[in-house]
Amino acid sequence: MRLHGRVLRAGLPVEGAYVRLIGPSGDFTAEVRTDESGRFLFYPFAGTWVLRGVLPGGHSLQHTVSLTEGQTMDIQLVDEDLPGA
Amino acid sequence: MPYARPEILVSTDDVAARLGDPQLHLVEVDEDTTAYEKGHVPGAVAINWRDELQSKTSRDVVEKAGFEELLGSRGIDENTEIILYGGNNNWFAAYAYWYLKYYGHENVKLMNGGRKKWELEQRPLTTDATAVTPRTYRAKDPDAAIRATRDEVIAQTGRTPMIDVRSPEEYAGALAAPAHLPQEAAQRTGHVPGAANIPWSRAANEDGTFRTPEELRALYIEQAGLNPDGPAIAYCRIGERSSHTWVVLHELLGLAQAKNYDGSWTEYGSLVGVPIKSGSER
Repeated sequence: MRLHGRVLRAGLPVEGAYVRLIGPSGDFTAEVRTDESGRFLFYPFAGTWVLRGVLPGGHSLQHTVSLTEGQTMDIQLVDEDLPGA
Repeated sequence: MPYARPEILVSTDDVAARLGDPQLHLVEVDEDTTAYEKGHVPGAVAINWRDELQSKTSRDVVEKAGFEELLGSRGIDENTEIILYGGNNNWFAAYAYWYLKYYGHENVKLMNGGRKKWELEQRPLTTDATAVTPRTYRAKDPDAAIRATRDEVIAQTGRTPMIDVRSPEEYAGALAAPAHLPQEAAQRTGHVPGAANIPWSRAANEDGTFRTPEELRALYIEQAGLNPDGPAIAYCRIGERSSHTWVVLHELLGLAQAKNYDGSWTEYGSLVGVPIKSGSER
């Protein structure tokens, strides 16, 4: 199974955000750095997971997803707070 | 209550203040071995954990002579102050720390928070090559007291406290590896019977820095019941996250008998005939 997506700020991809996947247990299972397209990718199993992203400068985002067996999900983590706003 | 060895942690502020200092020997070690080439802390050299810290002839650390050649080629001798950092919340930097201690290097430190903290603080990275003058490095004999072997883990099951530092999902057998990696694996999933599951991540803050001495003591001594004067063995999947916990136990909490089982689950979970426990129960 795959859980992938992008981190966006003002519609633009954010490279260098750190996205962690928190498992059904509530503990960290993995963390990746977004690429130049703002992309991240995980290989979880069916269940409820929390995606938590920290952007350069320290602003954080969080999103909860529920995956069913065999599902591939595409998620956008969108930062609505513009830098300096 | 201070850390047992507070001097092994260097802040990103302190590293930033020393950039350009010829006595600053930064070494980057990452799971993603291409990360350094894409941009590194100015003045840092890289060590490739896969190509340079693993023996090419057997599944083991490199032999002493190879280790000496590697460190010397990076402009390091046995008296150099080394500051390690890397990605993944310093997993592989902690592995290199344990590895350097295995070969007796005295003056080695970790940049607290690693590459992630440095990046999120939007500090400078460069792709400029770092000039290195090779030196002669003389390693000590390996320190077997900080390394647990497969046979020791089997013999000590149910006797020595063991800590499985992987996520609860890996401990239970639902995941075969951290969830950022594809899940193909030849070996069985589960954990060593009796091992407590204390994920490495509980010892770290979200920015990758280590938790306070009080928090670490509460986690490992008060809640998990480890004896500060007794033995403990940490393991994970390939020995890098368990190195992070080994640093916590041995260096920050002062458990002098703590060992890292670097063979970890990829070795234990592939052995024929050893007991394996699945699910969340110990």
